[in-house]
Amino acid sequence: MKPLFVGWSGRSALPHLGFLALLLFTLVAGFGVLAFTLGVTVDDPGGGDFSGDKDITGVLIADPYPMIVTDKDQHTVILSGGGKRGVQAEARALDGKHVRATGGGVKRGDRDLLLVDQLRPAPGDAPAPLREPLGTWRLTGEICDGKCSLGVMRPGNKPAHKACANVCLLGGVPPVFITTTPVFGTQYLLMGDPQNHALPDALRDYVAITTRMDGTLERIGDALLFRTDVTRAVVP
Amino acid sequence: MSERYAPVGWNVTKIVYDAVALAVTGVYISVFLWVAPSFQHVTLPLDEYTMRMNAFGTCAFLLLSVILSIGPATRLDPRFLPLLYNRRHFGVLTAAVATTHAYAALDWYFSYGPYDRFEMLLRGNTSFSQTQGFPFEIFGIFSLLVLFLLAATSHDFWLRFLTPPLWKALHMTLYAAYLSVVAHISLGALQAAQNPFLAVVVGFCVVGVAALHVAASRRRATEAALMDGWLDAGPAEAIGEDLGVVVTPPNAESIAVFRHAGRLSAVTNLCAHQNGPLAEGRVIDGCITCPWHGYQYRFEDGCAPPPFTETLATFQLRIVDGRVWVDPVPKPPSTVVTPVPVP
Ligand code: FES
Repeated sequence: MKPLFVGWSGRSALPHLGFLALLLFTLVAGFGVLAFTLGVTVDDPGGGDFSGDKDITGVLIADPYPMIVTDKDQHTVILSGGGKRGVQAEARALDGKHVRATGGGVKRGDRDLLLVDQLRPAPGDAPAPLREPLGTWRLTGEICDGKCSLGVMRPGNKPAHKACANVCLLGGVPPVFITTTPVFGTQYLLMGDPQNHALPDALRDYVAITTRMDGTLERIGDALLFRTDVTRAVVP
Repeated sequence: MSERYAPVGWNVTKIVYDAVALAVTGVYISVFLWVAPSFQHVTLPLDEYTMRMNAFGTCAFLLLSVILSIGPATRLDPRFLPLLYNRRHFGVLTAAVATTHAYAALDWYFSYGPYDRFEMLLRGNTSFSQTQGFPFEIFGIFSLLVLFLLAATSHDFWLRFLTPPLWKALHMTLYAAYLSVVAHISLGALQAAQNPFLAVVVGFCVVGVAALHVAASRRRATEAALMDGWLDAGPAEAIGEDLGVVVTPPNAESIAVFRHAGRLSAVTNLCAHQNGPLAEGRVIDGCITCPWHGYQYRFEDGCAPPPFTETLATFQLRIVDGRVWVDPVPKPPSTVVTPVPVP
């Protein structure tokens, strides 16, 4: 006996196979070509990178952000913690002291940053670091977190990276000001407010975009510290 | 009695379709991540996470552009129809690609700090009042949520549960998601980008998708004016030999349009026996055969072959530019309407 239920049919229209083959080829080839071109035409993120294990001795300066000026060559090294964290608490206790710090280095151009593993007092006196006031300046550049922009991330700047930079700054990573043109031969400036404190929260609105700011410059060791009222930054 | 839904039914066409969608995505991601980097002009390579974000982000955008082009493309040229067939799978794949992009960003940009990553996603950047440095992530989050919602409701269960008009309206939010993605890219990656190629690609896609929609709606408007009151039953191509499609006139019972021996004819979709859905039936012995109890009807006049006496209302058809048009006014049952040959 034939079943009463006839059932639904499952066939579909016969496609134009030649056209479909062409379409398939165009899609795959098109996506391949686009992937290649978009993957190649990226902006150069520069040459910042990890620079291996470091062991430095020098004077610790806790304000506006932790740094060490080394005994050996008056080289100023920015201090940061692991992850998106600063080492403010550890540095506070050793402000002005002779210290030894070990950890992983990050380097971009003439600027070094240490991802601190260990920070402890070092024997011997603290020689006073070189300091030289350099007057009032109007500078144009981009505020970044010192860690990503010096090479932990490539790229570690520009608006696409802004929220990440803010997360770093919220965690205590020192900011840097990357100037559009070199000042006294460098483009990576340390930052602080006019009273030599850390920058206020308003800073975060000016991160990762081009800003123009007025402030004073001081050479500390071999780095420049730019002290500025960030709330008066201008977006040109 | 309640309706039951089997897990997604697989057939060869669906598998081929998904294989193609996966191949397109696979080729894109592999070329972007493993071929392109050796040809970049950079001091040092971009970090792995950023490359992943770029690869999956741009891929999701391009897939979305393709998905949104399928509808108008089939309207302009029915040969694109096979792409329409399984478009929902394409959408689910896009949601997965977009999620991979979002996860890479969450993991790289918002993690490793003293605060929760999701808190940072919302609190990391709050510069809502400025264009430069705007928290463009918010547009990406919106698009991703829409993609999730559409992927989650893509199954036929939801189509029936929500009813087609509501489901369709819900799935139209894909356009909002697309615009939101464009805002996400424009305020994010494109800000301060030195190389213009990404901007060119995004602009080209947006203009292309828009132009296809304009062209398709123009075509629709001309056809509608031409076919005063008649209903569009889609491309003749879409109706397979010995298969039926359903057209539903506003405020009336649906109509079944069949193709048999290369010719189209239309009868009411309701079986004269117990209202079985005729369009879902088969053709047996040259007759429309109801899927429920096997009642049969002739194509040209809707009459059951003798000795049976059941009759169906018939409808007039036309084919214009490859599309089928149905006169929604039924002819009295058993009126002869000559089947229209498919050109
Ligand atoms: S409803 Fe069509 S055969 Fe019974």
